[in-house]
Amino acid sequence: MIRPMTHPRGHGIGLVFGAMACLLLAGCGTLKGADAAFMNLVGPSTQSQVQGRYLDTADVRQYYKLDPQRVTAQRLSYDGMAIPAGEIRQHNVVVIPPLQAYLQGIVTRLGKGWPGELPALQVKVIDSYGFGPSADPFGNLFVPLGMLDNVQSEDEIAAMLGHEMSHVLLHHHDRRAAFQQQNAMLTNVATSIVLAAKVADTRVDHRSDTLKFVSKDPQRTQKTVSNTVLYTALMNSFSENIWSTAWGRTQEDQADLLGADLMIKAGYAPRAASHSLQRLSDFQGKQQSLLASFATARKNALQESVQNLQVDRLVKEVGVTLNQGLTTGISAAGQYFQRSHMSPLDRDTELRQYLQRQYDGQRRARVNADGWQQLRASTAVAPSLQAYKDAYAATVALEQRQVREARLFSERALASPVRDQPGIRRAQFSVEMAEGKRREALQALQAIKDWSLASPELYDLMIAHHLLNKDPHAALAMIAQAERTLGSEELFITEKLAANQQLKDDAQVKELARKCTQYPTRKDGCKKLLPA
Amino acid sequence: MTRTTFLLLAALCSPGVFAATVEAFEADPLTLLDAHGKSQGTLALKDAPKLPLPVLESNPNLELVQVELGGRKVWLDTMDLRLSEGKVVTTPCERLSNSQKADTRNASTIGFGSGCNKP
Repeated sequence: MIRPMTHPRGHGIGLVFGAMACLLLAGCGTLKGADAAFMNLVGPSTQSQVQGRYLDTADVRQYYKLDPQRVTAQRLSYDGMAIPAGEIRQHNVVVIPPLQAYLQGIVTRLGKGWPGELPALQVKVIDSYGFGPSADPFGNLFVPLGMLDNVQSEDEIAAMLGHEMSHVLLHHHDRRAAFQQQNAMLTNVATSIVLAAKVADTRVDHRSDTLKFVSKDPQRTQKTVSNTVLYTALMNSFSENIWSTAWGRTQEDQADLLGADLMIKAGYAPRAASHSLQRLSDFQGKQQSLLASFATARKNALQESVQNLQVDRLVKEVGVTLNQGLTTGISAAGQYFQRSHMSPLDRDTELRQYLQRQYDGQRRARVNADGWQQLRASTAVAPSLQAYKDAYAATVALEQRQVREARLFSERALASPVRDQPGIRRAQFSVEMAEGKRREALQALQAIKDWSLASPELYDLMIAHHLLNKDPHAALAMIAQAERTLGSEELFITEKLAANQQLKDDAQVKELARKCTQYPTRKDGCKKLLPA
Repeated sequence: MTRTTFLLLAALCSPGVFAATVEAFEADPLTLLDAHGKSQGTLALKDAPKLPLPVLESNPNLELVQVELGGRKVWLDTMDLRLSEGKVVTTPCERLSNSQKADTRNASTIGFGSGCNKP
């Protein structure tokens, strides 16, 4: 049973924060799954606790029915959405239609295994040589070229897409919202406690002619205020650094389980999930096991603190654990609490054990590499994939100051069917700039046919160019396109203000200056543009 | 090309030569297989030999490896094992900013894993 935390010097405040934490754990809808994160932190693995097939558990069944409000929030395009600048996609989108159709087909096939209502899901290939795919809350599944360059079978692609789909199906993106909400709520409660303490402690002094407020017990009030500030800081720090990341790891484990269920229902070989986790391990480098000996030694103390919800003691135990880890030279100590994912090999082991328990008949099925190998080598796909590899090689060559080689790679990429896509032209732009050909560099960007595929960085380059050339109309047109594509007004609001200043449109400047103050990371930039 | 060089090259290129070792058993009991993947019986983990165990031969298509257990050569499914050489990513990444941790680059996405750490 969870008891409110106690503290010899701040019993009342401790009680309030303990109750707050219990409330957060037990009641709040957006915090579904947070309690499981505690178990990830100190208890047995998520996978080992699952009874039966994960897809059929009550935890998953609650997501079978789509919330009508959530359906409307499932936007496949960023159009019209006020996405914060820090949350929009960062890469150029790649268009190779047969590849797109193939990947979307895998998602459709996996989706048929989902017993509930399926949200809209759309695969987008992105110009990145990272390995792991990702998903956003709008149902976009981003597949990096680096993943496609390395996987060897459709089963492996299905394993990774199934994992990403699972994040969307299980509403995992709500975690961030939950923590933002919790931070705000704790701060509000703390403010209320401070105010209440001040009010309770204050009396009116009628002895003088003027009305005067006097503190009855300033030392006690100060102690209350200090404790309140301390507990707020501890709770929020605990949430950000430990609870949130532990919860994130739990979500990764859940996505591994549901992804495996979906791929098996779709007829794929589950061993491919193990293949992709092995590749991920190779990509990330070897990591120490999460439950290494130093962590095990501290586990019991931490577990007791968590169970009793003694936040101050827990934080102390964490400190001891980290210090011990550091003094004994275990570099993984700090990562224990802050790593967003379990070690891939730990995930692989847990997944294999789950497969042995639940899918002993299917787990030895063989992967079929033929379909993927054929598509990858086909004339409709291979030249485009090669072009992106050449563009990547051009960028690498430039970083090694091999401009001639970079030029050759870029020219090969420009001879492909995807020559006018943003990623290819971005590489050409860099080569032209390295050769000092500014006009040709600009022409490279102007040759991009579909700007809805472009990354924020490319928009930034073009907008800056137009502003430098005192062409505010062109800058505003590009900003409008960026807003439509990326759904963020925040991203280029400073540039929009500058363009309107060039146009001497005072009404727009005033309106934009007002809006700009709503964006903490932009308001200083806007202020600099405005007269004092 | 001398005969010795030829034999050396042939030996190195032979699909049967496999330098990997079995680092861990991932199933209990282990299913013992023939060269075609058909079950020949089981072995409880408590009776398994000490690790690491040299791999004598491998069949990448069927994902089987041959090892010696108690003086007997048997085939095991790689799903039941952790090998010293697993699947890899061939793309190098450290020079490219594109492969930084997805978590830190785009706060709205949840990725398959964190960023690249390959040399």
